[in-house]
Amino acid sequence: MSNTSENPKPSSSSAKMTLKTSDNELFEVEEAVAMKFCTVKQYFEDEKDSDVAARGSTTVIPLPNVHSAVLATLISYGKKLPQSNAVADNHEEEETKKKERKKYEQGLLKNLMPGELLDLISAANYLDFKEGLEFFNQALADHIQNKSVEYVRKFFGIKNDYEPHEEEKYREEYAWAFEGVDED
Amino acid sequence: MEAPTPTPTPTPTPTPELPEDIIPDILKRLPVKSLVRFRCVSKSWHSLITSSSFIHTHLHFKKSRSLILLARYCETLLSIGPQQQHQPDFNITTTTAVDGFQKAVELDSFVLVKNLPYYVKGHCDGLICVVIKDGGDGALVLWNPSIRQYKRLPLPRNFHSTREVFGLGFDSTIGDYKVVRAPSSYCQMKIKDYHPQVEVLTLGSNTWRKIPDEDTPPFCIEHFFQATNANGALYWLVAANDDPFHCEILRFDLAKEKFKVVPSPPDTFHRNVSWLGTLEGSLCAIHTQRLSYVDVWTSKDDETWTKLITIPRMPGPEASVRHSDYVPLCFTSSGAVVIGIKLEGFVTYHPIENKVSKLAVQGVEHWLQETVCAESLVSPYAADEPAAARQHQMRSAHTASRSLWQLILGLKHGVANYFSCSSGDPRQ
Repeated sequence: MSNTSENPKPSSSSAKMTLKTSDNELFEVEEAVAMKFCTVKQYFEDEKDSDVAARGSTTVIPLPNVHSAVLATLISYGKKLPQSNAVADNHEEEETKKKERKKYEQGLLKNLMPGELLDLISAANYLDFKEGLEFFNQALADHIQNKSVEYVRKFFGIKNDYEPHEEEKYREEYAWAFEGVDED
Repeated sequence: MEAPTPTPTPTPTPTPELPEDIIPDILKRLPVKSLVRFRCVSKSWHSLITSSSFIHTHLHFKKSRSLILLARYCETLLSIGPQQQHQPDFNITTTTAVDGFQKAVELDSFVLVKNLPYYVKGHCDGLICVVIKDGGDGALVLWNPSIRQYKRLPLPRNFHSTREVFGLGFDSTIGDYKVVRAPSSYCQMKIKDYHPQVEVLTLGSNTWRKIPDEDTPPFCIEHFFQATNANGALYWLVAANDDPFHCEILRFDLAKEKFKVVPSPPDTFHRNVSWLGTLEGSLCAIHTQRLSYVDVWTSKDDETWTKLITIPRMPGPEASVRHSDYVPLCFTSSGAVVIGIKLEGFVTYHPIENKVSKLAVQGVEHWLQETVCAESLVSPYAADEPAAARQHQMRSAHTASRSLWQLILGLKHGVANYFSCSSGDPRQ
């Protein structure tokens, strides 16, 4: 499911780039958004030639480590970020935009399965998408904050290498840290 | 390990491993309670969470939490911290306008102060330095309330417990914490043969070391002041030698171990500084004043002072009289500053909205000292201290004499409360 229908109203001079995912989907993205993915930016700058007309429109940047569903979410998040070339707003406008973004972010997280978060983080890391990584890392931290040790092990696929008696001793000594934890 | 119980929500499918550097980036955002629990996840997570580099990253993460600790007379300390409400999906934190500083919790785990007079002398990176008058020689303790660990420090010679002056800070040149004992006004006035001297204890060495006599400052400090820790130094307010009604800011450089007087912020009326502390890690000061506003000054270099915020008149007819009792505590995540008003309570002031609001904190009636303490994983034990020794410390072996003293004071305190009369000057 490509997102070409989701392209925002383009600003007068925005170039577009095409990104190709691991499942061979093509995404046409505004340059301003794509440049937030530093890996893409790097690739683009490496491939840049002096012919401005050839820029963007014909280059297809392969992203073999990113699935289309994941890229769609990252692009969607990228579009909502304040654009670097935007005119500075006054305090009121800034507050309104902040509230809107917060609402969008909450909506985004509500519809995500926990497992998808890891895919998003992996992809944001691969793409070197700093704002996305920051946001999804925080979301994941918020998610696991009150979870049990067993949940965290399962979630991250971590093997417990403690002996039962070692773990028992630890839980006894720090019983206070194990209180009020979410039920699995 | 017991078999995993079936989960009601779909279990996430085992995922490809995240790059190693992502895990610390996620974990640094967690509160201490979660991290202490997650040390149990695996040995590598334990290593990571107890590593000094992670502890440092966690401590300095910009969204790290602050707690407001209230020391009381012969009662356990109270802790007021931002509380967050968790929603079922993704624990999206919805913070209220005052970001949760609304409920005080008793810190029962710190049993050493139960029914005993004590003072908080200084704090740094989540560690608190407490002096306790326990009926014996007294105790000097380093305590991290977030991880609930404390350590008794060796006492310096001629220790006068709560009348002493101490500060706690971090010396980045050696990467260790230092406890500094400074000259005390009370001891100077009341103790025969008192020799004001300055001694330093480094956590790693665990022994007291005197600094050269020529570096001892010609000042004495009031024992009820807490040392302020900022800019790689400790600060106290002291009375000027040439004019006892004039007060100055004394600075002790933690690395160089030298004192100097720092110029106070400018004031047209030449008033004294009434409060010295930190906000957002920077040194701040307030003058005593009877105007309809309070200026909070800040300095990063001990030379130039800039106005950080100006707090307007507090609600109430005697507001201007109370200005000398204002103690700015910390900023909330929405940018308001929480202010403690001695003998009254708390308010918040939002600079942009220019609004002062009363902050009702459940569970607080009276207190002696406020300390704004970072939530941290920093241990009061030196890195190489054997685990067995730590266990012993934590189980807190009470001596018979201390138990008896605590019992007597407990009764005395209880009786005094019953008759609602004070059992002596709380400011001992």
